[in-house]
Amino acid sequence: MSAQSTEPLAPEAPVVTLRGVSKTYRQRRRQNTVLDAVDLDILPGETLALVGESGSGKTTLARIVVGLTDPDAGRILTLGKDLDRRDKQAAAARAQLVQMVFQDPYASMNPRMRIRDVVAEPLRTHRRTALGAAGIRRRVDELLESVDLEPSIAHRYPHECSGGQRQRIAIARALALEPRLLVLDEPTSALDVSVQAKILDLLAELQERTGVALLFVSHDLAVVSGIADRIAVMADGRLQEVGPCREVLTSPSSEVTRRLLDSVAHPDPRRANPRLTERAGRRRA
Amino acid sequence: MSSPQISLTTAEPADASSDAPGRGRLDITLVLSTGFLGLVVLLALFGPLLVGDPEEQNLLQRLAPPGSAGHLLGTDQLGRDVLARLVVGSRVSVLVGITAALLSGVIGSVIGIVAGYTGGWTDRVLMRLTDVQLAFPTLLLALAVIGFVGPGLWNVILVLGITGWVSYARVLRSEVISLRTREFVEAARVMGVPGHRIMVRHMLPNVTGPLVTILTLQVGTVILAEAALSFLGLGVPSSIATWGSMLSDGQLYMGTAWWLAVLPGSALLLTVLSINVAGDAVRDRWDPRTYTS
Repeated sequence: MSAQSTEPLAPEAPVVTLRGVSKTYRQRRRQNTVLDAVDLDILPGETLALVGESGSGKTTLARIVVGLTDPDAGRILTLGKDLDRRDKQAAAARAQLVQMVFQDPYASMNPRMRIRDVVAEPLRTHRRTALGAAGIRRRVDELLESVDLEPSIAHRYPHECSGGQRQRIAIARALALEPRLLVLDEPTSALDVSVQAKILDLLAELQERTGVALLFVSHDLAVVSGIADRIAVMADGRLQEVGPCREVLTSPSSEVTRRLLDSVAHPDPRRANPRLTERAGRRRA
Repeated sequence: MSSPQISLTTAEPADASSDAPGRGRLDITLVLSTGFLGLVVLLALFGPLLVGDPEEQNLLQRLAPPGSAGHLLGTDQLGRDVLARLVVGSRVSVLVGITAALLSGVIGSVIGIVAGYTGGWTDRVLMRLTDVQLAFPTLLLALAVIGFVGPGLWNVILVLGITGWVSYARVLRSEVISLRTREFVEAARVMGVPGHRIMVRHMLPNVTGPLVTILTLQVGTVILAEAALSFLGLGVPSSIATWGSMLSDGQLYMGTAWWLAVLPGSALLLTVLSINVAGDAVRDRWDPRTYTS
């Protein structure tokens, strides 16, 4: 708990609160419970990693947080308010508080739109009257700059950009409305290892600057260990354990976490787990 | 020192052709088809100024074969100049084809995209509507409506335009259903982009390929449908020459004066073919992912 106490988390109210969130898909006669009464708080400015094997329900949980999927039961409070997806005003309010970066940056952009329009879309939807056409153009340049891209990239189409550039663009777009929470669904798994590290650095830097909370969904504890404040481990639609990054990595309380830790690939197998925690500690210092 | 230079210069043309595979072949068909279409449109616009009166009859020169003095493409059973009638007739074909296909394109796109994106009850109602429309033979419906409101150029356009939307609606609906679950549409939903904007900004631009394909096919179908209606005497009034009515009159003389049916028939065939070929090319180039800059 010593690492946790230095974090400025406790006094503020959660950005998103999940209580008893459940989701069941019915396939003919079989019922498939993807989420089973999940309780989770996402705190302002923190990086919460949501890890689990594929099929554990982590992506469904992320989709529920951003409002892409409706839960069967339970409540989702965004800044203490219940924002119903079917209510237009509530949906607009949620869009400005919670944004998402998808796994495949290429698929998450309309191939017929230039980068300028991709990044401008959230602004045109919510800030058209406030900013005006010239204001939107300036803001797009600003956003591209904030993710270390040249403003000249704005004239290109998504297919004319590299994978890393696309994910930066997706991040710029997600940050356009200055959300309080950014949900990242495996944001680096479609990228080369060298690009992955740069994107993770960028996210950390942006978080420091803007104070946005990150919900980082991943199947890979190695990726998460370097950036997470807290880790939530999911399996079979339930949260197996939630705790500070260091604690979960060094003394996992659940079998699932131990299995995930064992599955992490290492350049040097003899130094498997200590290496993970070493990185986590370095980042925190 | 000179060898790399030589290899550079010889490699250049090979590179240029491998950058755009099949481009040369595409260009020839494209040039031919757009050239022909341009000619048809030009003839429709200005042709009537160049040729004689298509209605002038000369019973002494009935059924003159092509190449006769003063009649390049011969005359028909009333001694009217076939070339003049072909040129004037292109006006009706071009006008009806393009306007009716565009009209049904607008109706069909709206219905298809709304049905596919909205889903649920809206989708079910709209799709039953297309089933009903599809169960009705288009030409029969057109006949009934024309019989009711009376023949006339704009009535024909309206009827063919309103009855032709089904293929657009069907194809675009299925395209939109597959687009709906794509990540960029979900991203737009997360951003709070309203449904109508998603349909216009994200759906429509991504269905232009099939849309243009159906549009070009539909132009051909509509031109043929107008010809069929004129053939049955229910299309454009017989006082106006159209390819369809020429074909209908000409088939009576197939054995003795082949040019009366073959010439308007060929004009029809070449026009429809050119539209389809040009449409394919347009569709290929429309996509920003396929053109090289």
